[in-house]
Amino acid sequence: MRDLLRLVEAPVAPEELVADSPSFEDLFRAESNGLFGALCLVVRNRAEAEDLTQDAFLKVWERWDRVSGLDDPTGYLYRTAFNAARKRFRRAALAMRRATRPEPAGDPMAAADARTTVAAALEMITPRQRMAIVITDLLGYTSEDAAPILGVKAVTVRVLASQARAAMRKTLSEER
Amino acid sequence: MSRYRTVLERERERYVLPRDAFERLTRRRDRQRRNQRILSAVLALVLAGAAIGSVVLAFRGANRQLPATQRITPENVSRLRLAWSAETEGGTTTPVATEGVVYVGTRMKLYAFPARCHPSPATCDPLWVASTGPIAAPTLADGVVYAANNSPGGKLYGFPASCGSGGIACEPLWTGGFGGTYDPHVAPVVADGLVYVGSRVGKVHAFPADCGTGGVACEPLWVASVGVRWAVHRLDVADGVVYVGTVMAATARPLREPGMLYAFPSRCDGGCRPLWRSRLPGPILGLAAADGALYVGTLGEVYAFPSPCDDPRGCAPLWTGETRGPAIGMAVTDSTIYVQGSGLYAFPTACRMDGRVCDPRWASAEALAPFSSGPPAFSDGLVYVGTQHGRIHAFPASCSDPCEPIWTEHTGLLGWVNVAAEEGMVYAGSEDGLAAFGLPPEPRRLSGAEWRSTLLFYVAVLLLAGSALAIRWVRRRTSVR
Repeated sequence: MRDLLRLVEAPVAPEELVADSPSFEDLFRAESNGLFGALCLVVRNRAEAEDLTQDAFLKVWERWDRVSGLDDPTGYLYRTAFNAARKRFRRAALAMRRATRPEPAGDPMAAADARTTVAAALEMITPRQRMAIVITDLLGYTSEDAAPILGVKAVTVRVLASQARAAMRKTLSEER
Repeated sequence: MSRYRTVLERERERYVLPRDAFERLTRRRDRQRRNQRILSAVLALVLAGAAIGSVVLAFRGANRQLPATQRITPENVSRLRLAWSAETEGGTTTPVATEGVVYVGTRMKLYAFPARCHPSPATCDPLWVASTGPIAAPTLADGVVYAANNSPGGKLYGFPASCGSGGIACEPLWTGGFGGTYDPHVAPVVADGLVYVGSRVGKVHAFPADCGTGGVACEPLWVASVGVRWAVHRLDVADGVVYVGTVMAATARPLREPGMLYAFPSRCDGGCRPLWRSRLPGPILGLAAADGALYVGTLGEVYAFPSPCDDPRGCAPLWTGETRGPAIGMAVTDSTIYVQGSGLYAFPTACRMDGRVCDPRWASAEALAPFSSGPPAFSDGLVYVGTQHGRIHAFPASCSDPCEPIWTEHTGLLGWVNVAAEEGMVYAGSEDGLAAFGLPPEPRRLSGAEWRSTLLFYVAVLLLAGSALAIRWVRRRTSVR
């Protein structure tokens, strides 16, 4: 009992409090490239993806006092980013911007190879299907969790993801 | 599914943000915050400007001094306050107010004051002053102020009403010699392009109203004589007839002697002879012609004669009325003639036709008398009279006998007070100077449309502000799940 009281009364060091709640910069370093890559897959435009990434992080930053207390700040970040992406798809101007292709980094030969296979496969499917397959297959969301992000029902998410897989399968097999 | 995950992860790993991504994000946040601050400031400025503009529009003129539309009525007469006062050289006769200017004659000068003098209630400076010698009450017609010198051998003056401002000395347009008036409260009469003035030596002079400019000496168009025994005491013109009331001049007690009433044609070319004349038992102290009747006041009696009268011997009176003391000042309205002397009497103009005694509708309470010898002033259902000791009384036109004033005010002036009323102002003149009374400024009441538009504006502002706050609150609540 005395030990328990000592624990309760023991002062907590400020650095310990800080360590319990990660800073926004930590979140940015951990998640920025992953989110950027996922958005590149969805929107098929590097500049657009970077813009969406910044927007999502800015919104999280504005609400960091609350978001930092959530169980899954990363989930909130992705939901914010994909909601924004979905809204942008609705805009007619986006169709004109999509003419610019994303620029892959790394080995030029490998990148060129990937672009002809996966990128070509992603190009063949609709934005909604891309979002569905990225959210469910890449990010591992269930169709129920993905539904509010896409703004559709869970069954629709499953249908979109299935259609995307079928289209990609066909494209990837043809490439081989 | 794992196959696609691997493929997609490999593809995703190819996209990497620049190294300075966080710094770029920080700069973007700074820009965003700066833009939000600018937008908030602009929005606040617009809302503040709109709110201030709305308030200014809604309450514009609330502090305006004595708005011209503010009429004095029996309901608000008790709120009359001293608006301004003015010092004059040589006392004042009955003031005359018209078209935003109040004119007053003294024993030395003619003054023109702005009716709404500022700053109130400080001493008001005149617009212009004319050195005339002792003059009777002035008259204004067609932009010319006529004033008659009432000293022996005096002159009739014609001054431009818009002579100037800043207290300048005004020069007359023209002058005409006529011999001086008998009573300082008798103003020249203007009718049909002629100016009529009676003299203490029993003559009536008719001058052309537009006799000339540049101070020329004007000759009368005609002169009528009633004899040197009679001093012309009252004059009025109606229906082409000049009515002349006289008192006996060559006597030590003129009020004890009879008076003569004359009627001359207003166009009296080639020797002027009276249309008719009539002898009254008392001196003619008051005279007014209006609406088919000629009212004559003597010492204790009022007579109503038909006008015009075709009988060369004079017509019998339509009715007579009795007053306490002399019946001097008269003011005729549509249905009532107010007679002022020792008291104030309201006689119906159409009282009777048989020459018998007419009872007044009401008379002022005896304790208030005596009143001054100037005419009462009637305006907007109120009759104003001045008293011997610097007071003004306001009686309601629809009063009952005995009538008590509904407003009494000491003017701050000494001696007999003569009054005038016009466009929401009451003026009092005495030996001591001039005082003007008006209603104090009150907040302007908004019209129905102004109320609606103001209310609509504030509801819109509240809705906008409420909506903005609600959206912000909802976004804060719902965006973090």
